[in-house]
Amino acid sequence: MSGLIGRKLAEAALVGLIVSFATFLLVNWTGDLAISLGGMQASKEELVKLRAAYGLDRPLLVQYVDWARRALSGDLGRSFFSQEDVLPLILSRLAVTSRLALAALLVGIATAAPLGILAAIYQGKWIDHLAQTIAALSQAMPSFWSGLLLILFFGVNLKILPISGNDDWTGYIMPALALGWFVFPIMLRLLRAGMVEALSADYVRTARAKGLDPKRIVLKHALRNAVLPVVSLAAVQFGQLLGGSVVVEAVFALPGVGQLAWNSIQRADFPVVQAVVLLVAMIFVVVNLIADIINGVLDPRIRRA
Amino acid sequence: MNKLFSAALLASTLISAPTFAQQAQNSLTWGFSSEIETLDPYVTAKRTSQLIIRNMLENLVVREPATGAAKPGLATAWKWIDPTTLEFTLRKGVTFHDGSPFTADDVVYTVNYVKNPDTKTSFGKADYGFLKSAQKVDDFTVRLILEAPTPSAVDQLTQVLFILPKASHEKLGARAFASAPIGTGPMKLEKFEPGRTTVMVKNDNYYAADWGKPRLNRITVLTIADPQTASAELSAGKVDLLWQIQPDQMQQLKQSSNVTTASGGSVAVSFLSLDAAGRSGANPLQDKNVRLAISHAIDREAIAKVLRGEASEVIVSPCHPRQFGCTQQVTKYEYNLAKAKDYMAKSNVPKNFELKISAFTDNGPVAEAIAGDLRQIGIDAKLDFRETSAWIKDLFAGNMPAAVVPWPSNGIYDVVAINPLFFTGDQGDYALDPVVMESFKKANVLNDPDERLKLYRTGYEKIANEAYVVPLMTSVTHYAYRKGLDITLPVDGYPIMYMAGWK
Repeated sequence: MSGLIGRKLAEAALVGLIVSFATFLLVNWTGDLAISLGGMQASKEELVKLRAAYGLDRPLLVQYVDWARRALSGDLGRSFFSQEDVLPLILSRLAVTSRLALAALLVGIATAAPLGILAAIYQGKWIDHLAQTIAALSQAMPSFWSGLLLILFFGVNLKILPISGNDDWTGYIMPALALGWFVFPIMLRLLRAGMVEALSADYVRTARAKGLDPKRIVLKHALRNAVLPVVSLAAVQFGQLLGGSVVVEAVFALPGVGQLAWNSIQRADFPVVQAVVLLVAMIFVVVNLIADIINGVLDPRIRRA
Repeated sequence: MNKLFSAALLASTLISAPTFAQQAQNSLTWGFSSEIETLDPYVTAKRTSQLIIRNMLENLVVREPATGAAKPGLATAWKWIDPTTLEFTLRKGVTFHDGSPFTADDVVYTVNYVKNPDTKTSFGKADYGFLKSAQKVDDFTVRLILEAPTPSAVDQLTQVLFILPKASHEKLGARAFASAPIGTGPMKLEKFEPGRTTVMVKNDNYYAADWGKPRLNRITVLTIADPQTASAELSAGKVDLLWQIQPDQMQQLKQSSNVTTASGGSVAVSFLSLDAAGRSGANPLQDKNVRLAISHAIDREAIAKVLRGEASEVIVSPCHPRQFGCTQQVTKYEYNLAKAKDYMAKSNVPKNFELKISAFTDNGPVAEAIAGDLRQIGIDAKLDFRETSAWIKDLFAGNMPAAVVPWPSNGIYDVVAINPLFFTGDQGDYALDPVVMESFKKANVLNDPDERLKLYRTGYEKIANEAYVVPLMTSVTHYAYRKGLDITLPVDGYPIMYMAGWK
């Protein structure tokens, strides 16, 4: 296990280096911070002064190395626009997005798990068709649209949930449903396929022949094997939800990290963009490491490897 | 998809009866589409953020919303001492939110702070280029020294130079001040969550201003980026006012029984810049016949009404008709495809030449409409959409043969807010015409209004005769607000919230 952790940490360092450099280049090539700062009416001379004041007139590589050196010592810089330190700024936004991602993942798992198991047990029956139809519907319906429908129904019509904002935990219910709805189909399909395979495996046939309780066969023997790829997928999904919840955050006006990244990209506020991308990349690495560890616990073959 | 949502929203509002708690508490909640990331007016160059800040920090002069005229603010009177010196008489008995008195020292401190090259946070430098320094005459008289004669200075001061409290600002420092600003304004900050909400409460010690006293107890600004969500919040009663909404959103909300929709003015205009000077390399637009053909081929009336709203006006000069010096008595080019094709036939350019029309994403639909019109006269118009700052960079670098330029003029009622960058040989000038450059450069620093008007007329006539640009239309600011809200729609598109109240 220690070998696995060491390998993952080395991977994390490499990922961090590559994504931060690529982000730095992309932000600089596609936008101009001096113009974003000075506004459209800034004259040529003012832009020259701004670039000099912020060190933006130096070669890109020098600027990157300077940023990376400070980042390694824990200083991720300050937003050029809000003048806030980047780390606390992102952490405050990350708290909102993490809650949303976790809640969405729970919604996805809580709906996909029972339906996936039932669909596999009753393969080809009406419940299987129903589950697959719901999955197809969910894939065809983008999260912003399902979000707007939820707003209309629960927010405007029934008035039982807040339409926007995160003043309390109820503000997360509709965004989590909209985002969980997006996670649900892939989880359902993977779990169903895994369960179908497991239920037709020799060890399940043997267990049935031995007269074991059918519930125990499904939940303990088959599910344990079928859930392995779902755990890995949940880890990847969690990372994606952290970085990709920007649309749902916009629809529900949640001040999350996705919104922060989107606004920062638009105005080329690269210290913030860099830090967000780096942080999300690191979360991906850590979450994958956790998934590997969980898989190792669930499957002794992985542990030994 | 939007229409479906609109219909559903309308049905929802008809069967539900929203409750309006804000009105009962004499509060107002404003749904804002952009994030307010700081409350320091010298950190943000965004007029939208400054609109919020204006409730707490005041300027020397205030623009009257209904007329656009400069009225007393922290200064009660002003006069020109010479073409580069403006003297202000300051209001007595005014205190900042922390109780400290407002004096000439605060004005001098603010000007020095803004003009200090070490003040790295003063991003809105373009706003303060006309100011040179400030001199205290006595505790309640101050002189602003200008870099050059600036006839529009008083109008510009309605928009810029938010007065800082010398003692508190020095003590707190710019960073702390940005999240807890102290001003003399009618509202005081209660809560600020960057990116989400700003809450301001009434300043009970506010002086008797010329416009009156604040009527609202509380103003809450909520960031809601998604227009459909914002509409739903207005219908559900959480939000009382939406500003700068899209024409289709307005149509949708118009049908809601508890909402008033209205369109107000704006100083912003759009024009199509054409590379007549060949800055982007030799190109067909250097041929006057092609520019004339383009001028006749674009259905500006349709673009204005559909994409900007019914109240949008087609312009004939690249400036806002309300701006001083913006003459409309110039050659006009009506929408006439036959004429456009004739001019194309007269030109020596190859048939179906390719023309890239650049725009940043917000103006994509305008560029698409123009491209569609140009294809009808045999121009192979291609679209080139960029991120805003990348678009500005390339436009000013001289790399764009044709570009849709939206210009807000920073709310200034004078063509000096638009022509220096585009027609005096500066970075946005794709005409580089000596007559235009000379007349505008002279007029921009003259104080004699008649002489200025004469020179501007010369410049704009030349621009129109040569069809250097295609003036498109004015922008319109669309509002939707709860019935019962008493608000004066401003001619410049920037509502002054502290003057609003409930009927």
